[in-house]
Amino acid sequence: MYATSPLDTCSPSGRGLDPHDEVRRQIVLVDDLIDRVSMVLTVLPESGAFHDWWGPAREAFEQSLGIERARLSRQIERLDAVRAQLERVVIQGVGVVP
Amino acid sequence: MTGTLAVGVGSGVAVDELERLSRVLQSAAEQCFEITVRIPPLRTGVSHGIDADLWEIESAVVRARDHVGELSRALWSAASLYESSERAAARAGELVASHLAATAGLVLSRLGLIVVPGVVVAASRVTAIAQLLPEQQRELITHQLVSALSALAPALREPTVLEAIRAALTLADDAVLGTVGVPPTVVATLGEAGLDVTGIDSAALAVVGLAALAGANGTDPVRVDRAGSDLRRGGETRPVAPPDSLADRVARIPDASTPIVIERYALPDGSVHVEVYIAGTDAHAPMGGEQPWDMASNVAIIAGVEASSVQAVRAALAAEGVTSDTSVVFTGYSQGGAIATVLAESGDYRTTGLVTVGAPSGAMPVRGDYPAIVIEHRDDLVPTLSGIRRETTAVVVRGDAITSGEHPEGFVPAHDLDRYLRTAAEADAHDSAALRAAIEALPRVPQSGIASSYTATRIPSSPQ
Repeated sequence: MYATSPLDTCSPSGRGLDPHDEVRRQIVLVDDLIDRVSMVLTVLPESGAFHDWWGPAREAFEQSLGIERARLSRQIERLDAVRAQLERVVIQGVGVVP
Repeated sequence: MTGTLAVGVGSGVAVDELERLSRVLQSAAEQCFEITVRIPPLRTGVSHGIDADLWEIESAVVRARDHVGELSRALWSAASLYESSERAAARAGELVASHLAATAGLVLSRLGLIVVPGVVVAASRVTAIAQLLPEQQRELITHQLVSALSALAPALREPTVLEAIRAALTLADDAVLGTVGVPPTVVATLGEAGLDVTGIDSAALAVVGLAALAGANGTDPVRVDRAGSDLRRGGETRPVAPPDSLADRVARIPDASTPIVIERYALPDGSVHVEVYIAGTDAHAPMGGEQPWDMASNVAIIAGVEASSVQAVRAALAAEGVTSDTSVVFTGYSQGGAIATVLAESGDYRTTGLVTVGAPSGAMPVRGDYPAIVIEHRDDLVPTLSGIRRETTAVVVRGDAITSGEHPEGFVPAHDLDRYLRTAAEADAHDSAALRAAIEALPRVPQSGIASSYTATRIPSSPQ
């Protein structure tokens, strides 16, 4: 069964909702995604956080982790861009979005 | 000021830190999965630009999820590999070293048969010539010899030299077996890295036997008395606040005149918690005399026999009514740390914590299910005296006591309790997860308790 919360993962995309409300609902969902990706970033340890491990394996590990951190940071920027587009839709009124 | 602390569990890489990190990454990968299932409902088809962006974000997060998950699994495998390879490498190294030590002993003993008569003749001539010298010149030579030995003291603070001594002491028994003609391959098989029939404890046991023959028995019985002026009431007790840090515990370690301090705390559930603080060796105590905190007890502890000082702590605990059900945290310095380790691992007490500083306890395995913290200075000779560190689940904190520009007095200044107190304070502030977890796991007592100090007197069974 689908839940009614706007943050529910599997809720259908706003059928029957006012188009304006639907865009606002999408902004809330995008905000939630930004929070979640940010949370993953805070969980991933930064380089230099390893006191009790050393050697080339640690360096390779830190490098790989750095790549994933950068990848996730870029997704936050992309999600911010998506949010901005959705806000512009709300401001300009719901219609054809470029 | 001390140098940077290194914290590890056991003797090498902190494997439990890697496992903890692996779990963190696994959790991050699961969170990425949660994100990926929330993106498709956002693609409404209203805007192709937004939908395309969301596609890219989704696939990027999927990649991040996969990679972070792989890193987590790799880290877990690395932790297991570190653990097994550390053991295998140590064992292989010791086997080779044991073989070499036995061979060296064998060769030197054979050479000795040829060389010793010549050395004896040469020594007797040197003695005869020395007797002919005027007293002033003899004193000058003696003074120069003492100066030469003092010049060696800084070398005994070098971590590399100390590690070599640690290894050499571990191999001493192998060299002795080689000297008496046991084939090197058999010695290697019998040693710590093989069947573990012989080891530093067997070498120390031989010393205990020889010392006992010489009248210095480190295992003679002891009497303990509660210290204080009110002897008619069995000594004195005093109120005491519960310890709240490693440094606080180390600061409570007594000196060897009253080598045992026991604090009793009542817990909210009506049970009793006990903190025991055990002193280090009395450097001025004659071997095998009335003071059980002497070198004879030290050697007996390393040999794995019930030293007088160990008996004294047992007796004091019994006097305080401690049973196998009483929660006990053992804290000790130097010989006191070795005693603490022996008693914590004895299975006779419900050990709830172990803190040692500067203890020669490397040959004593720590396997119990309680937080154990071992603090050592890299430039301290004493912890090396028990040989290479054996199996331990303890969090080992290593620091430098002496800075490069410092010129301290004394033969082993890095062994000073005051310096260990400073290192313990640094350890309290250290952010290693393993160390923090061990400190947090030490029992916390909500209210004040009662402390008693004990003196101990050896009752020599053999004539002095």
